[in-house]
Amino acid sequence: MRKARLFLLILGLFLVYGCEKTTFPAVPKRPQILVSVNVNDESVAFFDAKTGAALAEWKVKKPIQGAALLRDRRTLLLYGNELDRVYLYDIKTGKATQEWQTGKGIVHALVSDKGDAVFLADERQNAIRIFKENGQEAGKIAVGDKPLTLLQNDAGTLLYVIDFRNKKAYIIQVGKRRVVRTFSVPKFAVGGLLREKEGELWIGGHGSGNTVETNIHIYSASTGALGKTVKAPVMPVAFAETEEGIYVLSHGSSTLWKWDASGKLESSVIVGANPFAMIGANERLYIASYDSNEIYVVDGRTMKVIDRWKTGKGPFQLLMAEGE
Amino acid sequence: MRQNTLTLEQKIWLVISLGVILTVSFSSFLLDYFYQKLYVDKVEQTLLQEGKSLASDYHGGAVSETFRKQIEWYDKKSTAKVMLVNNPRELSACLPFDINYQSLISGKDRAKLLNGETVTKIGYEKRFHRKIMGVMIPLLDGRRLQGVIYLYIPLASIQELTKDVAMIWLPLAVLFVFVLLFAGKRFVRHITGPLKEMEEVAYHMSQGNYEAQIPVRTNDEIGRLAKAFNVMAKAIAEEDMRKREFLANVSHELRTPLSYVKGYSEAVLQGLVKTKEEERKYVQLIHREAGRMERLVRDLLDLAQLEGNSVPLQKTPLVFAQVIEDTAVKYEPFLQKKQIALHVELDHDIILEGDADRLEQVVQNLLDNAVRYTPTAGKIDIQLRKVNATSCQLIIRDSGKGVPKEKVPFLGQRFFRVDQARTRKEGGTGLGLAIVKQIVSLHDGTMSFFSEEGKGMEVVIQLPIYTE
Repeated sequence: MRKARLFLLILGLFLVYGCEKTTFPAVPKRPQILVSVNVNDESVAFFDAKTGAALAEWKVKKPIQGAALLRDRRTLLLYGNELDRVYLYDIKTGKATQEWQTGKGIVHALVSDKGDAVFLADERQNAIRIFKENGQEAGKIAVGDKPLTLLQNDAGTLLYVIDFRNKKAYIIQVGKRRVVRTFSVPKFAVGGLLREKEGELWIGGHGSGNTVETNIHIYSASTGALGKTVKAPVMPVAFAETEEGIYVLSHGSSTLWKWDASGKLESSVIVGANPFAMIGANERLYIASYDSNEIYVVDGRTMKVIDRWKTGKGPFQLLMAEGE
Repeated sequence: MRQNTLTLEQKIWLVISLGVILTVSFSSFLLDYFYQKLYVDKVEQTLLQEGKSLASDYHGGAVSETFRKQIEWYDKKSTAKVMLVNNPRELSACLPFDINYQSLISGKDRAKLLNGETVTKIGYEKRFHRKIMGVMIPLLDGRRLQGVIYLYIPLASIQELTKDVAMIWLPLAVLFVFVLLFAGKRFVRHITGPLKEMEEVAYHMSQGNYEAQIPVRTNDEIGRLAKAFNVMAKAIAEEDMRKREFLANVSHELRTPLSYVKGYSEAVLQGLVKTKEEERKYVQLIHREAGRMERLVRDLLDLAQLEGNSVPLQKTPLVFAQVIEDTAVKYEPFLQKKQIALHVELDHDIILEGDADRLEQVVQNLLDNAVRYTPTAGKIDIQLRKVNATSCQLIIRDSGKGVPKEKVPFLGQRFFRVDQARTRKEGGTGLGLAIVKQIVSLHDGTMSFFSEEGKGMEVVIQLPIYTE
């Protein structure tokens, strides 16, 4: 009898526990927090972007592929193409705040700089879906097979969608919710940089078949015409532009390339092991080294590695959450 | 349940055949397995060694053109195919992106290689459109997988080798199987042949023919069985003969007094008797013969009881000398009548565990014989003595006519008589010694005779002494 009661109690606890929303460790307040999304161990790691101190690690235990930060700079949106919803957590408290039932197939998320909109790239619906920050779906724009790369202009009026499979890129006018221009890009194009002032759209990629991409393709941001190609072997996939210059990360050769603002190659350095993600901030470049499970910190000026932080397995995306 | 219709020969041959086929197939499987395993292992070791040796020339950084040339040169010289893979695509560097490309090195392999482990691959490789045995050695610069040295040889060349072996092995194995099966058949026939003969002989025996013998060819279990069978057949034949003889004897022994009784009674009935005295004499004769028949029947019954052990002995510890003395007393009138001197020398300390009545019968029968065959004024010795702590001897010696030496072994057989003419002058039934023999043997004793014609007879009975 006693045992049965104990069993029921434990069962009840399990049920209560199961019903409760997941809570992760709260992330201590810092001026700048670097967020590393690690796909191999399905975790999210938080670092003090200045000191490199590990602030928290969230064992999400769901097949997450990436994340995005909402405009409040404290709500982290997690997605994965095998997940049937996107999860939103408050990094200040570690508590789950929302879940959006999107269905499977979300491969990228971009938060609009202007206005209440989160763009979710859906490879199943072959569309860019627009959600309000309260989870309400506000619109949908049909694009290609796998819209893996999303870029936006400063005004937040134009959205550039680079498809991974069908060799196409789309320019979307957000206000009108429709594609205004389509142009060709190489197959397995991924990663890009929109240089609005110069009217350039830099697009990287892996290359298809057994040929590997060694070039960055630079298109006209307004017409989509291919302007020129720039050598950046092998497999340029991540881009960053700071006041120091333009940085491109080629994962096939683990090389970081740097051009000055005029497009002149300044230097290159080998960094990390098969790195996929890079963001630039504080005159630094934060690079996620996928194979070595580290974050490399590179001085943007000297191109020297100034620090290496251990993160979870398979860091695949980096975000910067700046203090309020 | 349906009865198994296979003969023993078929069964044994079936077992042998199954054994042979199983053994051969198992050994061929083992051979193949070990050959493959050892050879493939050897190849793997060699490839790994070569690969590691080649990889030792890599000292970090991007893979240099010199190093590539070196590998290419080695590829030309080596029997194995040697490749330097440094295309990130082939190394599965783009793994997190679903680029729909069958990389030479899978994500799993990459993870292993990144840890500095080598990877071995046996089986079909899509890229080469053939089965291969290959090894991959990582070229690591820290955690950076700069390239992989991929060495492989087509598995076909290994299989060709096994094929060569099979070419020699297969016909040999087939030949071996056939030879073994043929030899097995011969062997089985050799084993079961005598069994079949036995069956036939047993069948003959059941028809009353005890003469057939099985030829004994071997000294194994079957041979011994054949021998035992022969002995049994002989014993049965002897027993059968003894039975006939016994029946003949019994009928003969009974017929003689019967014919007396019949003849004399007929004479009386038909009035051939003239005087009262003659009539009395005839009746006396009839009475005597009836008495003989009674004794005969009693002895036969005794013998049957003793042999069949239908009336168990009532064994108790007893002083044997007392039994002998009590019996001997009964013979005093006969001894005096024949003027026979009886010399008795008994050890009164001897105690036997026995049936007093039966032992008395032994002494009585022996004394009967002794008195019967000892002539007037002869002598009889009775002696009971200890031989050792566990046995004693009863010796009864007479000064009668004795028994011819060659007939001594037959003493104690039923109806055996020294005088074959079967005259009833001495008046025995021919069963006395047989009964004695049986009683003695039931007391775990032995009986032996020592005699020569004309020199009397000595009967020695050895019995175990009772020990508490």
